[in-house]
Amino acid sequence: VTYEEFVHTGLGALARYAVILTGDQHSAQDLLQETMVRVQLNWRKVARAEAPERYVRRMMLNQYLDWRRGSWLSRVLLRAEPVEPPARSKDLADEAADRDLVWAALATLPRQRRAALVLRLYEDLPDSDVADALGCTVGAARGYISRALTTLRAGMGAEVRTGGTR
Amino acid sequence: MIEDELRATFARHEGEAPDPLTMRGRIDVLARRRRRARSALRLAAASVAVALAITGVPLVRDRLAGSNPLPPADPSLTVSPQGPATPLNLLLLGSDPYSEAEPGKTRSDTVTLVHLPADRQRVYLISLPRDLGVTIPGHGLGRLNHAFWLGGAALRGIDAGEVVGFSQPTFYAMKTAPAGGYEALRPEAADLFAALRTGTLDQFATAHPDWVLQR
Repeated sequence: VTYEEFVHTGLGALARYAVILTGDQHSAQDLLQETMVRVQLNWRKVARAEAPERYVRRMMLNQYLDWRRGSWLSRVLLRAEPVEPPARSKDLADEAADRDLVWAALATLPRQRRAALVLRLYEDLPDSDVADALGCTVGAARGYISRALTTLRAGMGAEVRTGGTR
Repeated sequence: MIEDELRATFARHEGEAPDPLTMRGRIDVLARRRRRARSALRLAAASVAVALAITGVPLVRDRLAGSNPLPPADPSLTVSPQGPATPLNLLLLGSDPYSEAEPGKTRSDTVTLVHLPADRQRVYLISLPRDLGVTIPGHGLGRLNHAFWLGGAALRGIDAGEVVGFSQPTFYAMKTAPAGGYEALRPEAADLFAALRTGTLDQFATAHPDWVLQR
């Protein structure tokens, strides 16, 4: 596979992965860009991997988890809340509001836990692979997932009790 | 089931993924830039690399007395030597080569806002893109680096509040490296660097009151 071919077929899926990991478009752009620049500069190594696509996803995940470690000053991302709420029809209003609550609640999770959820439910990986990707034990991976779910349930419960935010 | 809701949420927000075509161009540009930087680094001796890194954020103070003179410093605006009580914002500017056709005129190609919270526990550097569209008083919409060309030190008149609010005393520094080379950095600039790194900007401000301006 050449880099060009890889980008041609794979960039769309990686862009989606980036937005699911980070939770917003701007961070997703940064994450995708940073990962792909590294991929391009180290293409020979990537191409040698058994499954380049999976290898790059792993690179992106690590980049996401390491984001703030690399620099002697921490970056502050200046950005507003989502620009405009997604359009929704009347019938779907409740469902859409709930989904946005889930999305908003996801943003409050620590990175490890969010990543665990994404690997488990978006990537559909078994617990052992989740653990492998996060570099922890299977027990710890399960712990991340269950604590993340607990947080989400609790957070959404509170939102609903107070009448929701959107 | 919350798991199902999560799956649905993920699926729905996939649509917010950045556009691959746009990203492709940006990735290529950045990779090219980094590749160039990498080979440059290989060529340069370590000391030269360090010097380059320093000039990457040029800090030497503006000395030009032509059409864009610096306003005189007002002593009442200096940072209190008693210690940090208010947040401090500094504007660091790096210029491109001075124009030969219009002496004394230059654009600010590096624009970095430094923010120090009142407790001085951290330093925030906010880099502003030089192509940022801003309202330049008396000139309408323009690019940020061009504002300095038009207004010089009166750049302070730009409503920077559109980008990041700053109404506190503002440092103002400027590179005067002649075209074609970075020459020696002024010693004060090295001091400013050291002060930024060690969090001793208050002492620096006391030692160089003429560097402190107000917006």
